[in-house]
Amino acid sequence: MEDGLKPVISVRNLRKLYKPGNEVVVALDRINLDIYKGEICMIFGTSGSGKSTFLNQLAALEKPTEGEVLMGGINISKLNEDELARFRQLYFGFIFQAYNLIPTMNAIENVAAPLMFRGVDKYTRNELAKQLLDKVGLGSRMEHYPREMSGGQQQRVGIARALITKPKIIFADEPTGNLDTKTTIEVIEMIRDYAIKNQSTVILVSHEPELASYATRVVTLMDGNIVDDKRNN
Amino acid sequence: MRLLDLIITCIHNLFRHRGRTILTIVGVVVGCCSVVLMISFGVAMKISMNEMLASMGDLSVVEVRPKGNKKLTDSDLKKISKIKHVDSVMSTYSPSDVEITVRTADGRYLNTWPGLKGIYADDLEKFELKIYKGELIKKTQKNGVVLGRYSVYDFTDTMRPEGYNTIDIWSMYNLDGTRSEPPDPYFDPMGTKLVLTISEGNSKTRKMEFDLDVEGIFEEDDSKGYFTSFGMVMDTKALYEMINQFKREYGITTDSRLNYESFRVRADDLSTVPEVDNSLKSNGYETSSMESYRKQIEDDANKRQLMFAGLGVISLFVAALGIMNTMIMAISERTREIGVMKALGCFVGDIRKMFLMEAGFIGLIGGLVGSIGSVLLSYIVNYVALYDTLKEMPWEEVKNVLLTGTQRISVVPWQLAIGAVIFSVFVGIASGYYPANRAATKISALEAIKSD
Repeated sequence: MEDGLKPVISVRNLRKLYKPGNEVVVALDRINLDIYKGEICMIFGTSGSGKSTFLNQLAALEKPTEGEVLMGGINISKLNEDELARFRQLYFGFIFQAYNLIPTMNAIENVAAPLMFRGVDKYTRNELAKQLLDKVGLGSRMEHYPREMSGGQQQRVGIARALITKPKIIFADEPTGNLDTKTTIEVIEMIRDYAIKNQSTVILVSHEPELASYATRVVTLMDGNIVDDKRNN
Repeated sequence: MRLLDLIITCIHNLFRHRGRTILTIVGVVVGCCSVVLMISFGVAMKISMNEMLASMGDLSVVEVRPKGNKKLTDSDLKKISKIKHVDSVMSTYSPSDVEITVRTADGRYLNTWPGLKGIYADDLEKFELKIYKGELIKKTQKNGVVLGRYSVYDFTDTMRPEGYNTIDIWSMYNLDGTRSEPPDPYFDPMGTKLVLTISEGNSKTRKMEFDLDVEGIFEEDDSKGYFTSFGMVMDTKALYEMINQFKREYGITTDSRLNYESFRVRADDLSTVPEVDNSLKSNGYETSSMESYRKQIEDDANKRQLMFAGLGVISLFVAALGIMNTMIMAISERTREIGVMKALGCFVGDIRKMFLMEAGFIGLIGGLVGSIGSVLLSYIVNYVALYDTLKEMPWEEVKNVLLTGTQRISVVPWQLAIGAVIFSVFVGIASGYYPANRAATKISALEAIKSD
């Protein structure tokens, strides 16, 4: 599978050091990884394994100390703020552990927010947002504000928001970390189904081994190194 | 982001902490009010200063007198009229080498010092000399004369003994500076035939008489000339003709040219007065104007106004700190939100705009309320300060005084009110600049991932 295809994301010699005080902590130690189109790649590890740091590098939220992350041949750590914003608008979708909905916006507005940042007019973006909210089963709660929704509902709004730009890559950071088992399954299936249908790549960061069965590939990190990389078929 | 979306987002965010937003706005309102009120005191001072100067003389007029032994002649008049920025010139002719008296036709009332002057009839209108009764003289009226407002009291009653033969006009000036109605004169000058007598030296034989028709009586305005109160005015040409007739009759051959006493030179604008004054001086005339006086008082007033405004600006500065504080708080509360927005692809510039707009909005609302508030406050201040005079006036007049009166102590011109709004917006944006910039550049998208 890998040989004929160009990877969507190529990680080369990625190193990230933190310097809290005098000591130097190696969060990521020369990681190399290729992720391909349509993969649902779970980054698995315990806390402190470096999986969150890895996500930050992949999504260009932080600059690496050494090495590079290439997406379609572009070294994303070299992009400036505006280029990065544009890049995120065009290719990324984010799903957060804490949902991170904007409290002053209702469900529609939250889902439509990425399009608002792009400058899409209100009518168009709200229509799209409504369709997506219907798809994630929140057709009846479109006007609700985040504080009026349960965690599962909020996360479904979060998923709709991540999907509204039809992203090539979806970053999901512990998306089910705050949810009960039943909702966890609903949410993870929703992400998987979308990814399969749209040939999107998913980077799923989690410490929950139960989620592994939904991934097509599980990369296990420990102490900043990849210790395991296996595909489910 | 679209502008409309930015505005809506910004309003939503301001409503999120209504109490805090309102308190910050109140700070701006107070600051804006204090600046506007302080400046309004200065404006009022300037207005009353100009009023005071105007009562002392026409501010745009330069008085010209001959220097030394030189005379002011028709050629001077022509020359001065052609100087740049000179709008018009009013000449005053005062016959000096003959004796002039005026009496009533019946001979009973006599004015031995009538202060008769010649002014071209056209100039009277041009220099806006006002009439109390009757009308101004016209070029065609050879015998027309206009009397000063109180000229009639200069006439003595020849039927009464010395010391009791005049009416005491000065009794109408009260000690407290006010004026009563003048007493009744011996005769009503309007419609009374007057006779002008021209004689020479102490000779009683060389004399000539002319009939005069009183056409009108001046409104008293000493800034235009003392003759408007005590004195009389004929058309220069007519008067000069009479004097010449007299001189020819008796073969008097002193200087027969028309020599003017003085010119009143009016500049085309208040701002060109110094220029006109300078060119007159360099042409060798003796000048006097209100300009140097006015300039000094104006400089003083400007300094005071600046000081006042400085005091006001202090409170606006405090308000600016309030805005800054509010914005810094808002940003630290919304750190994660800003991170999320960035992660979702919001441009750095849009985040900056969002916060600048919030700060500007606080300034705008504060400025609007502050401007309207200070206009109202200004009325209240004036009403309280002028209460003693206003309480006896009918409401219509009170309104007039509050809207346009020169005795107001606080005046808010519309430019000041609008300027204050703009300035408040500017202060808002300026004090929001640092926090907004920090939000836009220092807060990373990483904040969205951090769990706490």
